[in-house]
Amino acid sequence: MKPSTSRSLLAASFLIGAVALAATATAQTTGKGDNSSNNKRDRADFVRGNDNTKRQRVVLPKTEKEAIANMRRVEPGIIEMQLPEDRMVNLVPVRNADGSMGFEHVAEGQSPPVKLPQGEVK
Amino acid sequence: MKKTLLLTCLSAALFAGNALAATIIPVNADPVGQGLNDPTPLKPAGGNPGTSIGEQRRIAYQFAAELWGAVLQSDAEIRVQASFQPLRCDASGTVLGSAGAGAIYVLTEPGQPDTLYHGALADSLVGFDIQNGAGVDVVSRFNASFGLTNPDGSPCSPGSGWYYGLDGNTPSGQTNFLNVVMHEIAHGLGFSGFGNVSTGAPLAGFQDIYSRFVYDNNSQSPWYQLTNAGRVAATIGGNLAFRGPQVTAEVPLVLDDKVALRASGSVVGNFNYGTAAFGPAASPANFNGSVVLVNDGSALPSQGCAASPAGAYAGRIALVDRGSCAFEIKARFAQDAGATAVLIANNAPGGPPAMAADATVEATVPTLSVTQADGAAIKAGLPGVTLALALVPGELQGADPNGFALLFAPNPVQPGSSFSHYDTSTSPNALMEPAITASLAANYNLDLTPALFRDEGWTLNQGNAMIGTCDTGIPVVEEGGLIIGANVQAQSNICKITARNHGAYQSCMAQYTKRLRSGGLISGSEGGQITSCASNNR
Repeated sequence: MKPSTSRSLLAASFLIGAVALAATATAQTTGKGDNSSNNKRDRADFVRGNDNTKRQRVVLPKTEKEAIANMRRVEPGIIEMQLPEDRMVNLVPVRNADGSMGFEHVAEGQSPPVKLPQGEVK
Repeated sequence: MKKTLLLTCLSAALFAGNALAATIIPVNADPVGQGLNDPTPLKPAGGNPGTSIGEQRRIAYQFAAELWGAVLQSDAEIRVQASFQPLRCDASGTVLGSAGAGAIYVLTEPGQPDTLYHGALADSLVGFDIQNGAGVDVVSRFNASFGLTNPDGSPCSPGSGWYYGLDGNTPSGQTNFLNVVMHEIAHGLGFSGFGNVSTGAPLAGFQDIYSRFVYDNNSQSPWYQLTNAGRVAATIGGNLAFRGPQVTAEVPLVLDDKVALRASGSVVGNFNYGTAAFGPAASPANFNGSVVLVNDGSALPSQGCAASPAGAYAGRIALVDRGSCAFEIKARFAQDAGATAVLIANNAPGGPPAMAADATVEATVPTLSVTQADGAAIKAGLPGVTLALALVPGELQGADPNGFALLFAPNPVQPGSSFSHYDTSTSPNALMEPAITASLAANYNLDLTPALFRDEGWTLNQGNAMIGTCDTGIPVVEEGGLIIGANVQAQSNICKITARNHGAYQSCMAQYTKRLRSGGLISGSEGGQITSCASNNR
């Protein structure tokens, strides 16, 4: 579905630099506060496990090659693609030196690092 | 966070304006009866009022969404796919979860090469949802079996498990789910490069907004002025910095002064070190003196796994090689021979090892570790080397000598971990380090992560936490990454959702406010304002 004309104008304003990418961007005036009835309904629905918050899982392309094959231009100056699975990161738990649990990342499809049991020194 | 920063933040609360927030919508991608929909009863804990595993997971996830939503501003809804799945959990290792951006966009900017942006950031910049309600901006998955059983009935990491509390008081052995979700959502929102760290090639040939700010100190070159081969070398060079102006401005607010192990005498230099989970904390007062290499007379004499002659190391720092026995056993043998401190040299490439305790002995001397290379350098200078813990004037822990935040760039490369995290030398521990520790409290403090988002183009919420239409006077997010106001707003929303009536909501907020006060996170007047706002939030 195409965005509305006003949205396209907003996109165009970005493209010509009217929307600055500078770190000092000013506060937007049309952001959503915490009191929108829609927002409240949405967040309560998720917490309650209501059906309107459920969707089938999005499946990402497995590789960069697949991701590039499905790139598409959605607006003048805007190209969409999906992040390939091989750029996602996995989390594996790590037992810290003090015995507490933490985690670290490994790449998709890569074996997690061998964990050293408490006191191991090799 | 430094205490001085916390005090500054509290006083700054008086001058901030009102806040607008982004809306982060978790999308439940689990089937009936599983993961986020798991109906197994679970007692409420840690401020999470859910009464089943699934409900507590949803509440914790919603809380994380509320926190990031409060911190950031965007006209477009940010959809974050959330699911629990039985991920790998066996003798070869346990995968807790995975995450990243979903849709990403190449945007055209004047004066810049076409650049890849994380989907949520791109939406924020153009001012609308480019996907127009379809798809998701962030994908996150978590291991449903962690601490329980795998689908085949085998145990998954017995004795561990998720902690779903919202209060940060994670029981020993468990993993704080909220911290993990905050970390992973951050990757999807902007804290990640998209290039291939093994080949150095940018994704689809495009630069990405995160990598634009990365600088290789070794070659003194910005990331995209390097060749692919140059980026591969830089990724394992241990000297990558993030040079965004906002992060750089906040580094002095957040990071501790750098302390190094300083060598003098026949070897001169500052060495990074690892710490031990046993013995007293090392300090300049208890860790200083001349160094002696351990020789216990065994076949591997410098490994110190046997008793040394009495008094052999009296009044000195005993240098011991890693290997063959536990760290604390080495320390105890050295201590018994008179050592006042122990330094353990790694026996393999990599950083200085963190050293676990051993239940069979008790060492009471301070013990530190150094890399294999630094250990070799010290040995080469013996005798005649003196070591002392000392401040490195003008340097900060986790920043380079020029004050730029360091990124994780180990050798060998760790795909999925290298490059897209702050360096592990960062102190205090940062949310976006590759290993998250029990000292983190992402419910209150995001350290340098919001600053990095600002550098990328995110707009942060500059106002105060709102309860209904009532201004609490507490800034949502402040320089240095403190997010007390975001926490107030998130907690109010969770109390509102889960309370049966207004009285229950007020009670929920009263308990929460008491917790903030007792933790010294808000002043008495701020607590009063939260209570007042909550009473009127019908």
